[in-house]
Amino acid sequence: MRRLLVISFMLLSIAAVDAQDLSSRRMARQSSVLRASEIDGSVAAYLYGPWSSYTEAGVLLKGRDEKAPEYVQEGNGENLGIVDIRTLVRMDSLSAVRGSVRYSNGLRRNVCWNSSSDFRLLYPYVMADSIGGNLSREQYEFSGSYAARRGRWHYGLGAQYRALHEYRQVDPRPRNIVSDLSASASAGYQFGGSVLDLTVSYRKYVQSQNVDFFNERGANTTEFHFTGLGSHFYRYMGSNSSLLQTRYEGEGVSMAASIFPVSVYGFRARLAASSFNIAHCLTNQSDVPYTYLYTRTLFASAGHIGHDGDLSYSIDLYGDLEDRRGTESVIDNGGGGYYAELMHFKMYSATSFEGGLRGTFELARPYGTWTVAPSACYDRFFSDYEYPYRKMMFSDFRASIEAGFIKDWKSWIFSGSVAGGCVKALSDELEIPDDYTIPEIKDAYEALFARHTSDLRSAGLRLYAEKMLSRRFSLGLDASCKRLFLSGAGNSDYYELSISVNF
Amino acid sequence: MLLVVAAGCSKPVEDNIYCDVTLRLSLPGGKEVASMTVNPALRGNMFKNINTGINYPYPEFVGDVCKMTVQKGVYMIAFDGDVVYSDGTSGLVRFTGYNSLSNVRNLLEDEETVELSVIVLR
Repeated sequence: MRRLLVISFMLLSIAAVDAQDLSSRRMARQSSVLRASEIDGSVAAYLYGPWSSYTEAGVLLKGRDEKAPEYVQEGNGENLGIVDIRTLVRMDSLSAVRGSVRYSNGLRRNVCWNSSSDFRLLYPYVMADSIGGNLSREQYEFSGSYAARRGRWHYGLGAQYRALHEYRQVDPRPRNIVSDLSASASAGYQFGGSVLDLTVSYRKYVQSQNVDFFNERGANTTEFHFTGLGSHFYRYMGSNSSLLQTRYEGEGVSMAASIFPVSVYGFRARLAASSFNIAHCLTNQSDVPYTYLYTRTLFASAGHIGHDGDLSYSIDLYGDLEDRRGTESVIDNGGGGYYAELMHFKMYSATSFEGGLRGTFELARPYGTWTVAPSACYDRFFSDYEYPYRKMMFSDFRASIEAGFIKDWKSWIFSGSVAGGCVKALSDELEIPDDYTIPEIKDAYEALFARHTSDLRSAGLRLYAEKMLSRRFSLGLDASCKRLFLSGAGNSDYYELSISVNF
Repeated sequence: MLLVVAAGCSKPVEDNIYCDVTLRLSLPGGKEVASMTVNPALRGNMFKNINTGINYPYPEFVGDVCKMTVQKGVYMIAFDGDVVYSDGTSGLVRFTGYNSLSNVRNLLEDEETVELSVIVLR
């Protein structure tokens, strides 16, 4: 925490920002169309972005309460307190630095069938038990980058680091420590009114994990090493602590190419691919890797940001594909106390796809700005397990619309929006055999499947107010809430409340 | 970009996860077997993958041979079998060659033959 404070003050002190026209800069930050112009992933493209130097330092309270959790592996509720500081400093017209610090602390409630951190990154290869419970979590995130232009060329270098500590203080007691480091380099060239940007990144991921039982009367559950769709590594299940110390080691690369206009308005497109491989090792069994997960992603988008009189808009067509392949090792009998991996073969695969169209329209009027943001997408998830054969598939159609209003009044900025959405399940299929599946695990998968194949509706509200305290500072208050209505399964509520200082 | 996508395939992965196993009985004295069955309900009878825990039922031996397909892996193999000899008499034989974690059989090739040197109990 002390280190976090030191770095935070460093970031604040370098943000020597020209305070002219803070009000118009803050209004621009409320524009969804301008926010849509940001290029994800690149550590240099922000040189061309619409933002002048800014610093935002805020405290955020974030929570959720799910009657039918989307992922029981992430609990049915969460309360997080977050300190978030981010800054962009344009040092001159040709170079800029950007940095952020984020600290979060909180609790996930009733986490079940998962003892590992970063479930969505690592599934299906997590340790799990039927009892679960609350998980305390503390996370630090740092990022920084430098970007500069030389003639028509630009380049940038950046890095980000995340450290996560999750633990429980009643049996079963997982304790997970994550270190997640990535470094990126971007370079590009301006031709005509457009810019081509290429970014490459390298990521290194480590999670050390152990589960303990302190109760003198013995363990209250069995810990499983899941291998996908209800299967598990039989050999290492139990409560023997020597079998419950594991380590995830992963690394990956990603590459992205983006083309975007020098000004905000114009055609833009992005193509990004990544590959990330993680080995899951048994620390006390000669560190033998018993599963490997290969995750590849491909993302493509094309869109246009334009304006016509008082109307400005962004339209974006996108597709996002993820392919996961999991392999399991054949481990020998450990003769002589050394465990060797004899071979490994593919047992699990999962493919998910999301493709859709999203847009934002803003109509500026003398009394304020109206915004409408419709979106529609198709989702499909398919996974199977080789032997004994298991399968889960579902697809759905999602649509949402958000309508809002932004008002600049004296030294205040107000904005508010309401949103509604629906998910319509299209198809589904689940096949989990009774043989070699523990009934409680099968029940958990059936509940998860029912949640993801249910129609649902959603409604949300966001209110924002910002007061210019001086020519240099403003104070913002942001509140939002969202409710999911699931037919027959209860509602899920999400909320965020933040207060921030901006300059 | 294609290199990035292909990078996930760099580690060699075994394509065929199955092994066709031929089990061949070998009796002391070269006595000929007409058939043999292994009672799956008897707890000590096993053809068990030590990693996945899957315990395969034995097919009926015709003559002194039976064939089965299992997932490649490391196995514990042990059984008591009700045998019918070629002369029409019956008996009980036992195989304990791979009956513990310290004494296992690797079945890692696409095809494997396992010689089962049984002892005659009855």
